[in-house]
Amino acid sequence: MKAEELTALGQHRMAKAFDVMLLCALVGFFTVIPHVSRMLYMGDWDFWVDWKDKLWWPIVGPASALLVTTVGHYLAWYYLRLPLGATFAAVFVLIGAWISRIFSFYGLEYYPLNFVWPATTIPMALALDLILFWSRSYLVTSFVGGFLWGFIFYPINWLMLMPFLQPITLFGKTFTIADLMGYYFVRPQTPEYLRRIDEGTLQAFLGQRIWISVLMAGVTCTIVYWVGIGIGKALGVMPLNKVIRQT
Amino acid sequence: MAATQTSASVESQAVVPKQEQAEQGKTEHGEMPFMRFMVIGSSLGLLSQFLIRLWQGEWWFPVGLDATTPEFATYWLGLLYLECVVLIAVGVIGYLSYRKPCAICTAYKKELGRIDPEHELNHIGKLWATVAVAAIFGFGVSYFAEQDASWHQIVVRDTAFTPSHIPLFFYTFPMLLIMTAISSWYAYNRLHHLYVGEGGKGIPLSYLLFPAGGWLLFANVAFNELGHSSWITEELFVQPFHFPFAWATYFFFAGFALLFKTVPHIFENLKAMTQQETPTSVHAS
Repeated sequence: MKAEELTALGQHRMAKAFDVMLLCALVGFFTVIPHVSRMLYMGDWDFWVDWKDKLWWPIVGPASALLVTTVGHYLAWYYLRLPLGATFAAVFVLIGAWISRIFSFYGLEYYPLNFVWPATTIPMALALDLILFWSRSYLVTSFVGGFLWGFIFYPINWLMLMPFLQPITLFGKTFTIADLMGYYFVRPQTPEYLRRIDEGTLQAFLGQRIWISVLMAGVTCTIVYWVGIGIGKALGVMPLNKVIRQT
Repeated sequence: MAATQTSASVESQAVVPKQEQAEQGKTEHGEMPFMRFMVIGSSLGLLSQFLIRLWQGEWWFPVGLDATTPEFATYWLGLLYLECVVLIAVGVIGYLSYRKPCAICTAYKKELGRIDPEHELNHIGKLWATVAVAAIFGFGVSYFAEQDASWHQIVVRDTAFTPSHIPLFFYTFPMLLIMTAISSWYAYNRLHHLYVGEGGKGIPLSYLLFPAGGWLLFANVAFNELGHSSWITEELFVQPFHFPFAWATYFFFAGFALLFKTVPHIFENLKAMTQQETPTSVHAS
C-alpha cells in the first residue's frame, strides 16, 4: 500500500483503537522489562546515593540502563521507523523507578527521597534516538550514540549528586554527606565491607579519575549497544516468520 | 458492509442473531468487544494492584513482620489464598473461553471462502487487548519487584510468604504468565491462519516465546526461594540467583513479533471495510 493510503486508513476508528492498545502494551512492557533489568544489574548503585561512586556506578550504571533501552530503540525503528524507542523506554523506566521510590522506599520503609533517587537516562536516550534518526545507521549510532550514553551519564547525574559529595569531618574522619547518610540508614542487605563504596586507591588521582571511568563507560556502552540489538533481533524480530513444524 | 456481504446461510448458522447479540453487549462472534475487554481487564488489574498496595500500607507493620503469628496467617495468607483463587479463575476462564476455533469464522470460510474483514479485525483486536492487559500486570511486577528489594533492606530474610512476596511472586508474576499464555492461546485458536497460512500446520515461535518469559519468571521464583531458604546468599543484593529474572523479562519482546505479524492484515481488512472490496483476509503466510 502507498503511504497516503496507509495514512488515510490510520484515521479509521478501529485503527485508533489499535493505537490505544499498542500504547498501553508498550507503556506496560517498557516499564517492566527495563525496570527489572535495571534493578537487578544496577541494583544498589541505583538505589542509594552513597553507592554512587566514581568507579563502578559510572560504568555499571549506564551499561545496565542501555541494554534494554537499546532493544526498544531498535524495535521502534525496525517496526515503526520512529526514532523514539530509547526515549520512550528511558521515560517509562524512570516513571516506574520513581513510583517505587515514592511509594515503597519512602512510603513504606521511610528512606528519605534524597537518599534513594534514581539516576536519569533521558538525555542520553534523546541523543541515541536523534543520532539514529540523523545517521540512519546502527553502526554510527553505536559509536557516537553508544559512546555518548556512557560518557555523559555521570556528568548529567552529577548535577543531582554534587550536593551529597560535599566533604564533612566527623569524629576525626573525613567523608561525604552521602557516606554519612549511608551510615545512619543501616541496610541489612549491605555488608559492612561495602559501606564505603568509594574506594581509596584511585582517590590519589583526585578529580581526574572520573574521566577515566566515563571513558571506560563510553567504550563499554558501545559494545552493550550491539548486545541490545542482538536481543531485539533474536526475540523481537526473528520469531516473526518462524514456525516450528512437525517433520 | 458485513450485512450486505454475509450470506443468509452464514447468518442462519450464527450462534445468536445479531440484534440479540447487540443487546447482550457482545459482538457477532459471541465474544466481549475487544475495547470493553481491554478497559475492564486493565481497570481490574490496576485496581487489584492498588488495593493490594493499600492493604500493605495498612497491615504490613502491625501484623506482617512475624510469619509465625496467627494474625499473619489471617491477613497475609488470607490474601495469598484470595490471589490463588483469582489466578485459577482467570486461567480456567481464559482456557475455556478460547479453546475452540470461532464458529462464525468457520461458517464464513465454509460459505464464502473468506472471513468478513470486520469480524477478523475484532479477533485481532481481542488479541491486542489480551497483550495490553498483560502489560498492566507487567507494571505491577515492576513496582512490587523493587518494593521487595527495598523491603529486604530493612528486615533480615523471612519466609517465602512475606508481605512483599505475596503480591509479587503469587499474583503479578503468575498473572503475567496467565495473560501472556492466554494471548498465545487466543492467537492459536482464533487467528492461527494469519501465522501459518490457511490450512498450514505448526506452532509459530512467537506463541512459545511470549509466555516463556512468564514461565521462566515463575521457575526462577521457585529456584530463588529454594536458594534463599537453604543457603545464606545475602552478601550482595545482585546475586546470580536474581539474574534470570531480568533474562526472563526479555522474552516479552516476542510480543512484538506476535502483534506485528497481524499488522498487514489489519490494514488490508481496514481497506476492505472502507472501500467495500472483497478482502483477501484468508492468506498464506
